[in-house]
Amino acid sequence: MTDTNELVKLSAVQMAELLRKKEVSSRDLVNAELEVIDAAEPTIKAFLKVAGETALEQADAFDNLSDDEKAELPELAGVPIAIKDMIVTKGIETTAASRILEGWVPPYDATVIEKLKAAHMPLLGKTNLDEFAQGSSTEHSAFQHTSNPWDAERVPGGSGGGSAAAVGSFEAPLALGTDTGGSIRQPGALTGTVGVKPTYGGVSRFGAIAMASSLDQIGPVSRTVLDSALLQEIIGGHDKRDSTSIPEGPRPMVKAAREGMNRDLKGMKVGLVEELGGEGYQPGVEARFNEAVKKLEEMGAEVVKVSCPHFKYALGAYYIIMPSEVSSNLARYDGMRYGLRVMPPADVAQTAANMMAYTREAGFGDEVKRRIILGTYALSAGYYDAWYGSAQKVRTLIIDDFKKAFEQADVLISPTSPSTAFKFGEKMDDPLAMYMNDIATIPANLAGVPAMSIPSGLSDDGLPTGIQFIAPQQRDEVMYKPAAALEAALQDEWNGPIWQSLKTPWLDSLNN
Amino acid sequence: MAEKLMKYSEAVKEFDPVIGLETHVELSTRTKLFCPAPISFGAEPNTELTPVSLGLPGSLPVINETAVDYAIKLGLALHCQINEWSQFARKNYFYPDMPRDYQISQYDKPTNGEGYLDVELEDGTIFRVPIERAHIEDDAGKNTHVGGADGRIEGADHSLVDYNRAGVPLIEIVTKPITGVGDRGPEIAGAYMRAIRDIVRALNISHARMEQGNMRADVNVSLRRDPSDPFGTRSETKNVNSFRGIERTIQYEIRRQAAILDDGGEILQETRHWDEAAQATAGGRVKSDADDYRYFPDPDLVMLHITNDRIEKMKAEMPEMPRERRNRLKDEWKFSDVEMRDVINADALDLIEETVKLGATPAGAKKWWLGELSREANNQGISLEELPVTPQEVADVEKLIADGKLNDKLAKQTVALVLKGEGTPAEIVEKHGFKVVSDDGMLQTAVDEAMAANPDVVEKLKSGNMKPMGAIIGAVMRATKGQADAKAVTKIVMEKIKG
Amino acid sequence: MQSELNVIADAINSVQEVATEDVPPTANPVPLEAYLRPDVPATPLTQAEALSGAPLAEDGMFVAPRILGEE
Repeated sequence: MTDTNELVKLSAVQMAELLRKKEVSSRDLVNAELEVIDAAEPTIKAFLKVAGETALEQADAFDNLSDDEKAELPELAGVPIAIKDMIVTKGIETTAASRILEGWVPPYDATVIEKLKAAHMPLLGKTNLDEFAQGSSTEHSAFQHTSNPWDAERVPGGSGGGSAAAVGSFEAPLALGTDTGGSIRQPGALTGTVGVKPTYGGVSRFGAIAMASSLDQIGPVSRTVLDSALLQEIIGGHDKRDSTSIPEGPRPMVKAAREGMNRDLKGMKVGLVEELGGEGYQPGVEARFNEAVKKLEEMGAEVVKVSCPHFKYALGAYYIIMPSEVSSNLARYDGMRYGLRVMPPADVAQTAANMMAYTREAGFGDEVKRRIILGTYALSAGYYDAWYGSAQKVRTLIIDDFKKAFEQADVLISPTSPSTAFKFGEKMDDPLAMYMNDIATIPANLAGVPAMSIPSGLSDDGLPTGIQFIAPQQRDEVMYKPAAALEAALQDEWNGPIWQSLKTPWLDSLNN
Repeated sequence: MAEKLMKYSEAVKEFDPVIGLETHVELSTRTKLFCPAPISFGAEPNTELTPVSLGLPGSLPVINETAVDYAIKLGLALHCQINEWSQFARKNYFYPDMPRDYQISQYDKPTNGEGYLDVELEDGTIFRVPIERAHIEDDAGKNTHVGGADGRIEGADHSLVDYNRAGVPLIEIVTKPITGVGDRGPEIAGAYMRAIRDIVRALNISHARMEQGNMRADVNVSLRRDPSDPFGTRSETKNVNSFRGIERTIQYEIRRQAAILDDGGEILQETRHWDEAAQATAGGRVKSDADDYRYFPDPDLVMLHITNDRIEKMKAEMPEMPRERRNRLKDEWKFSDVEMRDVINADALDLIEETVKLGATPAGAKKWWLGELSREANNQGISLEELPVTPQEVADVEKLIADGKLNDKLAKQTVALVLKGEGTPAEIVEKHGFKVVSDDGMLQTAVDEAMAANPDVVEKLKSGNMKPMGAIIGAVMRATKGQADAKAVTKIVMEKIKG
Repeated sequence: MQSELNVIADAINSVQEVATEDVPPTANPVPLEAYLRPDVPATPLTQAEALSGAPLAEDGMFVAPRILGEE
């Protein structure tokens, strides 16, 4: 029916609609995406591993179901999805973009993968990331640089640059990411896609390779708000294999998103976080943000200013807690059970401890080493109280800030990232500049509250900007409604989705 | 190079020993502490693992409810403060048998806080051992060292790692410094360890077999000149896995440290190990700042909430504690203090109780388990429990005696054959045709023959000297192949000499 | 790398300004109490699965280089 070029630009919901109408099969969808991947990958390099054959098998399994069986499945059944290579997939190499895990084929599936398989959503492959999700540009991948679909000279953000670029370049309608300090939302903003970090504990972390356990959260990447809502309802819910999983089931996010599409926000109070904006934010980012705020007001929302005075300590607290947990979580990569093993040179004692040291020296990149050293130091006996202990107190203060803010507003907003996509290498030698990318996204991780980024437009440089919505803990649906409303209002103004402005030479080559 | 040792009696005269024990008890849950991998003894290597116990990337721990319940029970038995909120923490260090390179343990918020255990010493003295905490943690895997002598780590070329034991729940019972032990340190430690063993067995929370490593202890010893002095530097002897070893470790460390201090030397704070073959502790690693475990709350686990309801439920399930049980049984069996202590020291309490339950008299049961069977176990170098004889079989033999179907001699033969695996007592009696001859005619004849063969004995008996009666009985026994009932023989002889 | 670590030292040191005695620490952002898992065994990995990623295996076990050095 529809040619590949048209098919892959559909939203996941639209693809699902065609599946229900039997105008396409799941195999058609997977084939179309594989064609795009073939054409786009030489430029985009979003995937570390494409699992075409198994994806087609999974598609066939869906296509062979009876109508009754299909009716039992979630709305997105049969729609393919890409997976950040931070999530464990049975039988498919999983590396966290690190040399130390190169070649590791897990003997088990993450809970979210089990849920996607149960929903008959074919897995297209594993997407690139900063090594162990540590970075904000995907340049710290041990294997390849992923390009931003909007400008191949620029980064797609990180750590989930692969998932965002894959969805942004139409290689996949959906992807999963992991977000520890903004790794789903910031790439979303930089690639003009939607990225959601659910409430901490809302989606099982079982099978998500741990970076910083108390901050990590798996979430959806998509091109529309509704697609993310549908995906989050599929992957969310309680998991007895994750002790930090919330016992209650997923919130009614799809309902909220559909309500939002009516563009009526009367009675909703939107809080503008004073501390997340101003100095350090690109003028173009601020301009698009301010226009978005106006749109929200036009739809009936009441916009109020809220202050979160402790957010200025968030970056410091984050750079204590995150590396501390990283240093412990990454200790297991010691050359014993899986992954890389490097023996010491002949003139060094051939002991287990030396093997471990040489393996880690060879297997980890600089950014990972930097964080392990920092975390090891922060947890050491003489510094625990001053560092880790203090950071956990700041966490309490940030949670309190959010509580107070949510007494004044239903949902909070800010720009997602202070800048648009930057050029490769631009910030690699300046860790602080790199860390500043996450200044607006980190507070939500520290407090465990849900947050999402949606496109707010294009900056003066023609690159996408993002707006972030933040909702109270375990009330994820609250952010979906205004996000969907704003998305609809902006698309109305733009006469279509943001990617209308995206040049896609890789798709042109498919038109025959 | 033997270390210089001071005579024990002098050492404890000159110094005040302070002891600390960290006892690891492996819980007998069906699954591991943080994942549903099955636990069994002697499984094929690396077959009892889930992604969690192998520390695979992405795996997460979930607490085993039964392990928590067991910990509460042990806490109750040790009179510990059971904390409403406790927390698991990561203890970070590298070792090849550690799947995650951190152990999940409890640090500043253990499930069981302060408590105590009263232990009974050999002379009946009660000594109170103060408990600091009893926390929950998971075990590591096992290394087999290849290429060195006798499988030792020293000189090994490489090690083979089996992670089956990784994740098995442990409770670590940590005493406070045990002071005021005088010259009885080894005895107190031994009694304490046996008491812990008895308690965990009574609670049915561990197999508590030291030889299988279900229970092991780290033994801390320090000396000071005077009880009013601050504690001296301690040595920590790791993973001692027999009661004897613990007692001897303490004795050895007291002697070794006393010799060093007496020479004006200093004790190194170090970890040592007990060398069973050398009957000595050997120096290991010197503790340094490098031993920073960087404890922090495990972010993969949330606070463990122990409700009052749960504690009450555990209280209701608490069995009688070993000391109370001993006192009750002592009264029921009408044993003296000494008899009871013999039973305890022989590790025969459970066996005797079971035998009595199955119908034997307490005296009869004790006679077997502490007599013949203890000798046999000793000869074989195994425990009474490991002997191939059950309380049921002992009770059966006792029943046969009571019914007059076996005499002492035949009973002993029967038990010996049970030990050889020939079958149950009934089967053996049947097979060997054992029976006590009480048939009057046969005995009359045998007695007549014995008296006729021993006229001088008969004369003595007739004159009222009953001492040589044994000679007649012996002769009758020989004639009847030991199957005669001695009482019946005596009765017949008496009738005959009275004429 | 030292200089790279220094750059965020200021941000990190700032946390101590507000981490006063009266503020309780938060270890986990969402307040939950531990779910306790029933003690029921599940099917474990096969030995082949367990060893599938091993850099070196022998006799069903993982091979570690020698633990002690030559001293």
